[in-house]
Amino acid sequence: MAATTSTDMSTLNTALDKISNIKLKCKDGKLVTISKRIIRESEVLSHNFSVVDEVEQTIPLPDIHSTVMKQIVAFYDLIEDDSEYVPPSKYTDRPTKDHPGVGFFSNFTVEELQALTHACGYLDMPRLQDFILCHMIVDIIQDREIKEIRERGMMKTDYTPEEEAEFVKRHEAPIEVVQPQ
Amino acid sequence: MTPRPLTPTAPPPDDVLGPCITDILTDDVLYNILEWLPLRDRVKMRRVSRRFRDLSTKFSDVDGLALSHEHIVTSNYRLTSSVAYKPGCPNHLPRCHRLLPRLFHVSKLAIHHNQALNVFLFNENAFKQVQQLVLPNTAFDFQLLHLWLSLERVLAAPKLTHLSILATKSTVLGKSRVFTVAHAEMVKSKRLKVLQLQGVLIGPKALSMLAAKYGDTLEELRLGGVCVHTPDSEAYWQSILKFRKLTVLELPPSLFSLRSHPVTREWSYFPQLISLQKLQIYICGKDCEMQSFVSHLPKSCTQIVVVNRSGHNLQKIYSYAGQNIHVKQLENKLVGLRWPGNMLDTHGHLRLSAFWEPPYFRQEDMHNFIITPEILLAQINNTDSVLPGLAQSEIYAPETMVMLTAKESLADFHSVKSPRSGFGQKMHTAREHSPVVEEPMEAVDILEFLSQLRLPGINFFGDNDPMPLPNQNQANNNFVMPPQELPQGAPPPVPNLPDISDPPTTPPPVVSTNGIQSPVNPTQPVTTEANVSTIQAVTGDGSTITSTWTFTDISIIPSMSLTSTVGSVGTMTVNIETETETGTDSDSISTDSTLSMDTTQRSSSPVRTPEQSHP
Repeated sequence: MAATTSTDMSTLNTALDKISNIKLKCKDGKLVTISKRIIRESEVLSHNFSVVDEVEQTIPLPDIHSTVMKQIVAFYDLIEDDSEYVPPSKYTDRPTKDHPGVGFFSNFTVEELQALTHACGYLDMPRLQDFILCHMIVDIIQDREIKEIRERGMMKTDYTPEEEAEFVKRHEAPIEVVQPQ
Repeated sequence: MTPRPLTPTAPPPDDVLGPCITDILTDDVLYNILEWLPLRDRVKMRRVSRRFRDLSTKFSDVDGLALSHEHIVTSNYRLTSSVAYKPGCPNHLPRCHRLLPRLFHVSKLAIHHNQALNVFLFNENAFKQVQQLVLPNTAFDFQLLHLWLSLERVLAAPKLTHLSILATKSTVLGKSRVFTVAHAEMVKSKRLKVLQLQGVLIGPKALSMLAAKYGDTLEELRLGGVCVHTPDSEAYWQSILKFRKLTVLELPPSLFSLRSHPVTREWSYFPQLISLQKLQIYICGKDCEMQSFVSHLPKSCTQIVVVNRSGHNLQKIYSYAGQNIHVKQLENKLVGLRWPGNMLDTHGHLRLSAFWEPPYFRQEDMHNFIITPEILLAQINNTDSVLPGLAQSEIYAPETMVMLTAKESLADFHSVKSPRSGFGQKMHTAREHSPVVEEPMEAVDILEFLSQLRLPGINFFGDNDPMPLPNQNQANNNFVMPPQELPQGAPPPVPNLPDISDPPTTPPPVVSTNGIQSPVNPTQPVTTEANVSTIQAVTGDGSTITSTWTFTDISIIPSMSLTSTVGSVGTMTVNIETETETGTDSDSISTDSTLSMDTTQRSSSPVRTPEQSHP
């Protein structure tokens, strides 16, 4: 949860109880209605609500486009049944591709992922950031060869052919993966 | 929940390649992606592009590292992952050494194999930030001199708070691994809080030095897996009492155990441990008075963890003076270890066990070892451990042994610093120093060897002064060592407790070059002409102890096993294999009380009867 201390949490709950409908005024001037859960999951928004006595129902958000904000709202609607987010401490607890939150980003373009990444970094939303990164890992990197990674990530190699050959020569010693617990 | 279909808000790019992900994402975001990757994928990403190469070799998020000769394990706040090198891969160590300098900042380090300690030979400032350190007990073998410099460097980590020395899975608990005073000196940290030792011997001087250095800081002292010299228990206890902030204490059975006849003098030490909260002890007495013992614990103690070998059911909660003390029983189950305290992993080479249980001298440990009556008595005693000479061996300095070993291996000499003052005045080999390892026996010494193995009622040589039999009036065949035979400072004799430990295992036999089964040294040609393969002495009371001696440097006896019971008159059987021109003959000799045998005879004579061999 974003609000860490119990004092901040109680202040935040008190402030949110007073407000029924919270809107964000985005970069393009459009208003986007958000749920209280999004405020709780964002460090920036929850801090804003917990330290200010009188909170206006419309909050200016000049750095995020309304399209991106709507995607965030859609993401949280998708996982509304999920419990409070605790960052996974084990590799096996990470969100996998079977999770609807990870599959949510499957049709997104690279530009959209970039805008989302910036938005969740701006709002400091750990769950959204982890899900986006897990999507990238599942979709682009995991269990793929170097050539596939480059293709799916639209990355161009900047190694010379000689350096590529040196890589192959240096790493030709076989390695195998031990399944982590 | 079923994912809702989502229509992309932007059309797909016309260009197939489109914008590169590494061009639009910042370094922080890319590095966050790498933090999610297992080590193998992370290393693989170096080949994607130069930017990923620079990022994937940072490893600034990695705070834990485990090393062995087969795998590397890294851990960050998100995941723990391993890369294992296939056995026989010749390039793994150089690759490992290229990677390791980027991981020198880790705070948790587990070294599962001695080979991984070599990194400290080439990097003096490696892993200076380590706070939790796990080392294998084999690194403390005083015969492995080339590891001393590495040990000195790894133990000198200035921020060390947790130090664990654990036993390796693949080796038996031997007596050549000693945590010496020199090792205690090597620990340079000023705030050591947790010390866990398993699979090593520790003498009173080393523990005393640790108490002097960390009496004000150490909070957990876990010695359950060590073996101590029981006659020096007073010195051990005095050192333990100097740890003033001790909250967790594990006591090895060789130092303290709850038995049928409690030693109240040891119980009196516990009230002085005023900060003790958790105690781990070994129970072997059938009628142990747990309630009475609990009354001796300090008020701060709330939990007792036990391995119960008594067969007696314990309560879960004992109350004393209005305070509840919870009792938790452990199964002495060995588990693999990757990190200290968590992440148990079967791929690790180290193991955690509750106690180093008796019998301490198993068959595998008895190579070239002279069994004295005191040690036999300690075996029977079931919890005591007699390690004569441990007090001398624990003050070894590596330089002392290197001086002579360097004659054989110049590399050893280069790997150790110049001698310190105070050490190295006497030049001895490790074998001469060892309290438990003796010179390889020659054939002519067998008579003398057997003379030291004289058991009550059994006379190997037919002389007129056999070991006296126990008094038949003593109850239940309990053998009491004559007072003059007890070493100075040895504990008083106690009744023969039933052997409740696991039966000792015999090493798998290996067929040697001439077809004779020998448990060790299969490549050495056996030139023997007469092989005494087994000696058994069996007496009537049923409980037995078993020991095996293996002689690798003599030409007559490749192996010999002795089964005896200290008790009344019994029988003895000697199996003799004789190699003749037509093959190998074998025969056995049995006798009730007296047996004579001339083991210096090397001729290819047929097996002699007791009458023939009797002088």
